[in-house]
Amino acid sequence: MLLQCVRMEQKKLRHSYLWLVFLVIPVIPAVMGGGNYLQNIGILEAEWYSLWTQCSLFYSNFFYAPLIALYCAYIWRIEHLNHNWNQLMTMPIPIKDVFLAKLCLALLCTIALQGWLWVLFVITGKVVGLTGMPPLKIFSWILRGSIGGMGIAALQLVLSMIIRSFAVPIALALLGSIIGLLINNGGLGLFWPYALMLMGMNANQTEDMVGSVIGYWGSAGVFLLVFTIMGIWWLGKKDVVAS
Amino acid sequence: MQREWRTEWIKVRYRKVGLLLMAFLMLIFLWVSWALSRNTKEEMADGYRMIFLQLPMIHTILAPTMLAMLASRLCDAEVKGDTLKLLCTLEHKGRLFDMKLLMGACYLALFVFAEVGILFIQGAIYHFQRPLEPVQILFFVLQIYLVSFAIFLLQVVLSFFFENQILPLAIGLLGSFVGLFSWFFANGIGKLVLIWAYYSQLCFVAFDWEKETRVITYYNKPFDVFSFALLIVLLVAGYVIGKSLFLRKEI
Repeated sequence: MLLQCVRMEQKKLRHSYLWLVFLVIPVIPAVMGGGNYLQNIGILEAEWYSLWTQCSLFYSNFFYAPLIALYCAYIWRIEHLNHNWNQLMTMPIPIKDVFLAKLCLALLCTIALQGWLWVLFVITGKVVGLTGMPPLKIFSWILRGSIGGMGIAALQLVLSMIIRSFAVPIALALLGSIIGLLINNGGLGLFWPYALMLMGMNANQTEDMVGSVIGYWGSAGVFLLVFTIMGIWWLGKKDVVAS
Repeated sequence: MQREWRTEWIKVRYRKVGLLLMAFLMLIFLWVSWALSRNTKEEMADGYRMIFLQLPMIHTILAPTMLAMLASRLCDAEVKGDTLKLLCTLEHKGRLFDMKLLMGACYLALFVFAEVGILFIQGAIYHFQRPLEPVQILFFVLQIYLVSFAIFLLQVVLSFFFENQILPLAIGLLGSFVGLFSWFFANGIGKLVLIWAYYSQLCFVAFDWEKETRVITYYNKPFDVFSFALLIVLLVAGYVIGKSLFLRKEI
């Protein structure tokens, strides 16, 4: 049933131009990061690692969360319009599958986005004249960032489900990201979901920002689980408002 | 005119637009406070110029998305509610567009006013030694208000044009990215055609960083009158084009 729900959700997203947004926006940090690297090549001496700081800093600090928020808001927007809530809730489908199907898409989107970022990073590296392939360590940061991003995706899915506006959850994601930056500087990043992407990606740091690997994975797992349970609980308990 | 103006405020009742702007304002306050708290007492002597550099940078990150949200919220009644056809039989179509802009202008004015308040609050907390120059406040207000209004104008046109609000909000995000990177690039034509880059273009404070001592020295730089004039031209042209597009839009 869950697989069928995922397929249904995919159908809803057809002709939405979401793919275009996710294709274009990550190109900007790659291009700008490459340009910045070339301008400061005298100071940035760590080759692929230096380029990584330029490409990933703003993406993971400020833009991943609003991007995934855009995706989540669109997934729920369809339900918020045209009395679709009533139809959705009266379909013979378990409530949990409705939420989990949307979550699956958001998680897949996170992985695809991170994969695209990796491709762009490699292309940028080649364009700016770096030799060989990027170290595997950077690839592991991309994977780790994806794990951190999943908690954000789950939270945004819950917010977009509760808040009927399309724009407000996106604005909240931006606010959350910036608060995440401040919290992370205070050393409390593990307790704030929006800070996990920044930590996982190890943006703008030479030493690893994740002090405790178990703590990071635990935190990411707990956030993902808590927000998923919260979303399913809300969907099952609260009455829908359809318009 | 008054009737339309009142109607616009009724449309946004209970939509908590002000609350969200307040959240952004609070974040700006926290961000500035955090950034200031990381400086030594000597560095804090020139705190006002520090803030005049920080605030436009913070705006570059936050404002495009915030303004996309504001425009989307203000146009929700027409776009999401699909009421344009009905509304345009009751009021002049062009005036509806003007009212949206006027509402945004009011929200923005309050926002910038509160930001000037942040400036004074920080000054009172940290007792910056170097006094505040009144002309700097004028430049700051012109810089932040006019650039934000130009972005808002663009977002209103986009919000009216696309029923699917993904595009206006994605362009808001794109604007944040482009604007942020514009701070790191040299001046040129590229910066002048990108509306989001005007926060950096109109910045009237610059700094020197000494690598050996790690000391930052702030100094005034002349207000870029050419860019300012160009921004006004872009604003007027944007208004004329945006309004004519809206008037010709099939509803």
